[in-house]
Amino acid sequence: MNTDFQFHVRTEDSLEIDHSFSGDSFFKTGVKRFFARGSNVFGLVLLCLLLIMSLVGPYLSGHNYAEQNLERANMAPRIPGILSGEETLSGTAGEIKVNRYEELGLQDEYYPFGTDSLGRDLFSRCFQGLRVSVLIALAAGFIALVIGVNYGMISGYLGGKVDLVMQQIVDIAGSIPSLVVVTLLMLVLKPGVGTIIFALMLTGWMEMSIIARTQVLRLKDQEFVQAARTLGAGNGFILFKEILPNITGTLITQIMVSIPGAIFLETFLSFVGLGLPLGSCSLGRLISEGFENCLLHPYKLFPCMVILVLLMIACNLVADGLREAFDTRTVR
Amino acid sequence: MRKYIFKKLMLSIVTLFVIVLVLFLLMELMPGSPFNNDKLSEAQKAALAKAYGLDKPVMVRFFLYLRNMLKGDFGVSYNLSVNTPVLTMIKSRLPISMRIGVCAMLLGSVFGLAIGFLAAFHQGRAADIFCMIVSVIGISVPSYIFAIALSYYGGFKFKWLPLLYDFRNPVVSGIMPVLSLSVAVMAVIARFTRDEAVSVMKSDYVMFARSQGLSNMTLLFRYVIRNSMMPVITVMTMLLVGLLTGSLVTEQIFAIPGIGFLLSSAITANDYNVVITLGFLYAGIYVIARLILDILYGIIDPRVRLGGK
Repeated sequence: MNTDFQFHVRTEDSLEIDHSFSGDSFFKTGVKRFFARGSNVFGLVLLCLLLIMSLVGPYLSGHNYAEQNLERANMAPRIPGILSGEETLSGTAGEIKVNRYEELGLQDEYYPFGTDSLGRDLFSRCFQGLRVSVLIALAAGFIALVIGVNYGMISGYLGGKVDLVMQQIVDIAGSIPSLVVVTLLMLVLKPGVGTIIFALMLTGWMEMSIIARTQVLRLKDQEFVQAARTLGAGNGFILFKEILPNITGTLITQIMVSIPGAIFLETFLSFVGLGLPLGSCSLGRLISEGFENCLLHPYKLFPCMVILVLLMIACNLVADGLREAFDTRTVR
Repeated sequence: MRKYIFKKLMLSIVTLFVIVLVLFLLMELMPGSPFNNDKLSEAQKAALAKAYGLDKPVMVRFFLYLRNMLKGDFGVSYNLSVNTPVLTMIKSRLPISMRIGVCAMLLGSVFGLAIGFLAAFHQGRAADIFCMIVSVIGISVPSYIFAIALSYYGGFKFKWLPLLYDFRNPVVSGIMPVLSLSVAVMAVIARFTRDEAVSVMKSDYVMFARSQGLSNMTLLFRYVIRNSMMPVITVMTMLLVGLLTGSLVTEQIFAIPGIGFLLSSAITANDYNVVITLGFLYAGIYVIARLILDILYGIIDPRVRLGGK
């Protein structure tokens, strides 16, 4: 093997067939590249399933997510043919097996994820929580996008002194750890969905603006922009009609990238006790409620954690795929 | 070069000043007061406020605070442990958080780097796919979920390890917190290392070195590691900064008496000075780490310090 000249030879296996043609639009090549990878498709399917469940899930079990029934508190999960609704409680007197369904004479009742300490159906609650969490993340991502994109595009387009000052502001704002800002903000403002969205937006817009600025810097001296300018187009027209459509792919990718972070922050804040108020329903609240007595009733914590993990995995996979497929920096 | 360092230094100082101002103003806006005991009469409350200087206007108090801070005096705790200087409270807790953070960082980096380089060298093969699965799971699953799962199975169900942190026995009871924190570190580093190493291996100079017949090992140590480490080190520094100051949730789950635990209890107790000081500590470590990185970058890569000219 050890010869003086060993060339790097392309064998039949490593032969690469060109799948992108110059005639294809940027969008079409991106979609092709996205679907060429199994993990991307898996992530997308998982994400779609979760989104569908967040829409229909709360109505599937026949129990409202907020309806309390103290008689039916702490029922273990019961699924026909799979789980009997029995749970093992370990106390000072040793382990005892309890089946609350039989005790209450509810032979035909099935709570697939069980009920919480107020007798609310956890199945409905989990998917309602999923819906709330996704909405919060989307709203925060969208507002951050609007602010960040405008800020970044103006900064990049105007350049010079304006750009310098605007970038210095981003630099300083970016050095303040987001955890500290968000935690304090949640204390100052009233807890609620609006506050969480505001806090998430505050931490999200900077990254958006940096990306928008880089993209504008890349495009603003290209021929099509110069052509528009020669034809007498104003700054607003050039920015929003010429440059913006060209960076949409990158921006959508960035929204997708920001969603897992936003969901994580929401669950984190709720867990520390700074998130949504008691009585509301989000993945973070469910996890922190489940954690309170997870040693006794672990089934309360399990489903919402699994849903959160699946959601995060799906979002991360899709975001990675989009970044690889649409990001102009990695175009091969 | 000197000008570049000076500029970065000034920027850091301005940043720290802004941070103190923001923290101070946020605390002003916060509802509640540190003395909300029903037994206190109005006159007593006023006397307490006067004793702690809380009756002066906001701006006066801000500059007083700033002046004391420069002298190293961060005030005393109002509530959690009355009249103890905040600095003393932090001093006893910081080492606990730092020790766990550094251990998690070391564990995560060693495994992350190993998995990352392994994947880069076996691009597209089983090792690469394994690396991708590990890193996606590690990035997707929040560390507190690992912490809960570990404490449930390892601490409660099978009783392998102590359920809660015990400072008389920090090694054994520290295993689970370290493990749960290191997973995310490992995943991020593995992902980053892999991507960097792959792009280095695609470069012309590695292709050339390979065509000269250098072995994989020589290639790895002489070319790939060196050229892909810069961005990886940046990520590692930022991760370390996050870990040093302790994790709020992990410390809560394992009842670790560290900085994160102190912050969450100070927040609930309206202990202004403790919250501001801890916020400042978090921000300060972060800003200093960025300053060091920026200067290092400037020294290593002239394009950075001359950027924009």
